[in-house]
Amino acid sequence: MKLPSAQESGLRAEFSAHLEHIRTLAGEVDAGGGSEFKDVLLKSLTDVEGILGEADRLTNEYAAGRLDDINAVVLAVERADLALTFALKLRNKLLEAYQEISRMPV
Amino acid sequence: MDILAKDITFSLLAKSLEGLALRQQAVAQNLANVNTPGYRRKDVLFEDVLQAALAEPKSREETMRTIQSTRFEVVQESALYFRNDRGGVDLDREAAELAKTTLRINAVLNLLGKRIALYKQAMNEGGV
Amino acid sequence: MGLLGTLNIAASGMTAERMWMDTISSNIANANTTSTADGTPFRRQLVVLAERAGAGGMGGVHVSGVVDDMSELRRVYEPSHPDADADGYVAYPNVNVVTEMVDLIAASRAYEANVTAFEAAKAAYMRTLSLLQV
Repeated sequence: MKLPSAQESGLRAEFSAHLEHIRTLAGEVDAGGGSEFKDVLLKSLTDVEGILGEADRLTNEYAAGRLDDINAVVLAVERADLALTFALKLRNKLLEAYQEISRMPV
Repeated sequence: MDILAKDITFSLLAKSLEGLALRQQAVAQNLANVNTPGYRRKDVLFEDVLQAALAEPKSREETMRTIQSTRFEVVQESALYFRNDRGGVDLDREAAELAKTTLRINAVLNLLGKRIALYKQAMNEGGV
Repeated sequence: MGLLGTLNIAASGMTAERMWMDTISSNIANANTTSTADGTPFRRQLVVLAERAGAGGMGGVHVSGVVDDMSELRRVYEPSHPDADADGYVAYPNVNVVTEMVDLIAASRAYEANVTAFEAAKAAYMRTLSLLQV
């Protein structure tokens, strides 16, 4: 039985749309400014995807009985929780900023 | 966004948990073999390893790398504890080791949980 | 390094000590059995314990066999006993009840210690899961 790869399903896939949205917003808000902020942000998003993927991988392994180490699974999931919460809050802030900027008179 | 990536304490706690869980297993092995002839007790040495990781002055990244790459091993003691013709294990000592290890596991889990909760609180109220 | 591995180890210890206790009980019950099914006197039995190497090294313990204690039987002069030999001696089992009681206490203590280990591993597992609660 082939387990779904972390890319095909799970937290990582589920939230890829949100993370894409953040990428888009970052581009819009940062347009014309220093690229440092955007680069840091994009790198961070890749890290988040990695963490979500790892949480998926360990959860799959554990559920299928291939992994015994519950500590590793729980810590990976908690890490994903924190990273994702942060990313989503950041998205909301960027959205606010974007909407602010859109409302400004030219 | 990987808040925990730079959190040395969190990594240290996680590694400590790994070592303690393995030690709990070694103590269980000792207790299961308390009456096995010729058996020598086992342990996991990890405190020294983690302390060494913290010892020398290092950059934060290096310290993190050292902690996360630490591997623990089960070691077997060379001395037999003689008790008639039975095993090389002192039951009372192992029972005490079990109690100590279990308490420490609880402490580390509580510390981990609290740390995670604090991060969540910071994100909710810190206006991220 | 699974906490589940620890549960298995503790469980194997409980099983082994329980088998030992059963053997001891049988020894005590048959302390005066001069004729078993095959006509010979009952012989004291011993359990042979051996360490088990599981996946990753530690697999607990197992009883590799139950063997007869081949030390000398007790010979008592009782010419009127149905199992007396030509010289009037009866061969009684080589069971010393006092020794058996001491062993029983040791087995019982070891059994309880393994139960404690089992409970400790289980509690650690549950506590880890509680991290997932909000």
